[in-house]
Amino acid sequence: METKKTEVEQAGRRDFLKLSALGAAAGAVAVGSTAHASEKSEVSSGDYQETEHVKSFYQLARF
Amino acid sequence: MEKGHSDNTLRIDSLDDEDILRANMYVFLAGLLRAEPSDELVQSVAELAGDDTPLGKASATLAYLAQEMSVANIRSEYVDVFIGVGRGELLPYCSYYLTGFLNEKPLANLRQDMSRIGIARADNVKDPEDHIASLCDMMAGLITGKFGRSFSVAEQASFFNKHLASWAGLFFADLEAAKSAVFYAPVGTMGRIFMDIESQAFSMSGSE
Repeated sequence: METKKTEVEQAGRRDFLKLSALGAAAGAVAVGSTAHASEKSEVSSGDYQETEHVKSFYQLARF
Repeated sequence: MEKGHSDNTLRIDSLDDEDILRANMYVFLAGLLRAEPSDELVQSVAELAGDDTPLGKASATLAYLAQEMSVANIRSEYVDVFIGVGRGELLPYCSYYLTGFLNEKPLANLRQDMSRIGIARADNVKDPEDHIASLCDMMAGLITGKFGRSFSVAEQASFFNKHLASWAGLFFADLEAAKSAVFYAPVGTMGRIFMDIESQAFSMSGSE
């Protein structure tokens, strides 16, 4: 079935990414860690504009 | 230009771990490639740890260089590699790598896609949008849902394949080998490996 096939493919892709040791490299600048989770609420809609491609993602990353 | 969207919150907690890692990596590369690094950025790079994988080793090397090199030297290296006098050693633009010229059809194609997605160029940015740092920013935004909605793996793959796959690996390899690059050489290594990982992962999802 189409859904099952896609799920299996996505699981394979995620496993591959897990094994690719991406975390080793950029841990210091993580945005997804729980330490930063509380900062989401600080990003008001005024700051959060997709009109800039140099952005508030960096505020979250504390650059 | 701002596309309408109902929720501005960055819903990081709803992302898979792997997607957070990917977004981190794009943000990381964009930060180092966009401009001369700040003291704070160099400090955060100095704190990176790496395992024994090629990617881990490159990040450990980069951390070591961030600790050992003066920030002034790192910044002037950035200038030598990317800015120079008239032009830097490297021109990290999709148009340049694909056509030999800046501001070419690849940039026009990118602008079309940006318009479709709802990404607009900041007023204070003078670089063409097909700069590697901008494209990394955009990929991070597609992953995290910054541009109004989350983008499926298939959509991310489509964007990656159209605007990064054909040239970014080559650029990062050039960066690894650039005459002026010491600090930026392992940045090139990390970028090259990551582009490879992204390509392989996208092809596994059956969405190329």
